[in-house]
Amino acid sequence: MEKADFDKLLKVTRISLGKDEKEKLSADINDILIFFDKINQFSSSNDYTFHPVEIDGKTREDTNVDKAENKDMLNNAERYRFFVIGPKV
Amino acid sequence: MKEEFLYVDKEGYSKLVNHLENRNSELNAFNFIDKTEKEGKIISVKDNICVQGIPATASSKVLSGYVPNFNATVVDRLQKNGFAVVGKTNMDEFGFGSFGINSDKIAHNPFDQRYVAGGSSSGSAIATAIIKNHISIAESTGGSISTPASFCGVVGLTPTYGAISRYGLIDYANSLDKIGVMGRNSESLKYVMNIVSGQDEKDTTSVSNTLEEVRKDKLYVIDNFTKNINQTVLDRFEELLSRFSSDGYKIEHVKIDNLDYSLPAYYILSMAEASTNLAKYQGFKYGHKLKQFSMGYNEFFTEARKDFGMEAKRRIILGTFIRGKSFKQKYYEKALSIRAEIIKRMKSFLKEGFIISPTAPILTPKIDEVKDITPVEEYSMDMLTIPPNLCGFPHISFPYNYEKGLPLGAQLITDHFNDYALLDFVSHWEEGFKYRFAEEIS
Repeated sequence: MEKADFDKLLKVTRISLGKDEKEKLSADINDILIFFDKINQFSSSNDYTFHPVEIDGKTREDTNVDKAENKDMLNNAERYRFFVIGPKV
Repeated sequence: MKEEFLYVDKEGYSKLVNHLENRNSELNAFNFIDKTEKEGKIISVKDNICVQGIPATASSKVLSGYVPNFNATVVDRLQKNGFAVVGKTNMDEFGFGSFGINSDKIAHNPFDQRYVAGGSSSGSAIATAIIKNHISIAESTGGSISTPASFCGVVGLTPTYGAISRYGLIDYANSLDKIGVMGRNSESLKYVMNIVSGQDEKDTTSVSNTLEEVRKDKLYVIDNFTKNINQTVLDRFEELLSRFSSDGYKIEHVKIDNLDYSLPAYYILSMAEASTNLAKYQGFKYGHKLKQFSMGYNEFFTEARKDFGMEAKRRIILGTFIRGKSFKQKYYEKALSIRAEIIKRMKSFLKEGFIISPTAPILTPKIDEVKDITPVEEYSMDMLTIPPNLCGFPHISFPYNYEKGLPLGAQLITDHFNDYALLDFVSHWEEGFKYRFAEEIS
């Protein structure tokens, strides 16, 4: 992987690394990609499976139930009386 | 052998907690021990499965402080049947590891603390090895139940993909994650499986198929599955095969084409899926919260995500790369087709018999020996547990020998939904082999 691609990935994933970490991780990733490239020797079929077993794929019916969930939703939120604050966009 | 569980009343519970806190300071089996007075049949739960009122961190600083206000379905079903959760067990961060060392608190093998406990469900295996008649609810993506079960000398069942609801599980890789169980004998596992398996309306990927018990008298040894394993492990395994042969099982050596691709295919799929799952941890909604709201959007989230460990960062970056538009076909789609191919090939044997192998290709390593190995070397250690996990086949690891005081585990694989046949097989094994456990805390 080129340095520019690696830097772009760090930006996209919002991962920041120190200089040493960056060197180590960049080298590791190139080793892993060589390991991954082994699969190119496999002659691909178009037979895909997204789940290892057949899944019905049923979706739940939409139901409108008043569960009074506000308290639950804010269980792990900071305790502000009428609002939750977040970072600037 | 009959199912047995450690039942404690409220007074006994406090004593148990004290004992566990003492041992935990050395072994790091638990991330959290629940001191709330309770009574029931004692179980522990891996720290990536939600239990109402007890923190769930998946051993990640990103989730520190997160306390679920709901139970995972598996926990709900067990509590309704008289089980009580004593604590949340240590693990490699988000399940990323094979040795139990990718955690703030390195897990130690209860037989000898200089050695690894295995991962990622390290704490569940330790808890099962030290607590009398214990059951632990664990989770496997690529071998996270079998490997620690083998290194700690307990029985670990990874069920068919979809057999147990994953509602309340902190995701690692959705097409691979499976909740499973560890215990001290097959009958106890069967009792628990009867309670926790079955479709759940809260998890649309759980299946309604009935789990079966179709016995097989043929054991397949996949020669290209076992070609790179340690000689001592291989010698002990050959002795085990001789024993099964004299018990009437027919042993057949075969080769499965394309099995070598399973390791890279697994890591491609798991990293791709992990990178999307970990995108939601931004220091705002779950767990650890960054409070510098004066920061801009990008700065804020980059700062919050500094809390991921090195292996998590590696997998996020690689997974994101693999999912890129120009590489999707080269990596992700190819890995999907490899999975389909390996399922087809393994199934052709599993219709006729079980596949058996050692669980781990090496003897239990010392912690110092694995701290500095490269990621590719670490991933290669999963070579025996990856194929059944990639393909969603149920498999079980059970102790079959002890080498220099440390247990050795064997892995048995069967076809989808034939989970109870594995427990039946191990139940027969237990009639002639006595397990040694590290401790008997009660």
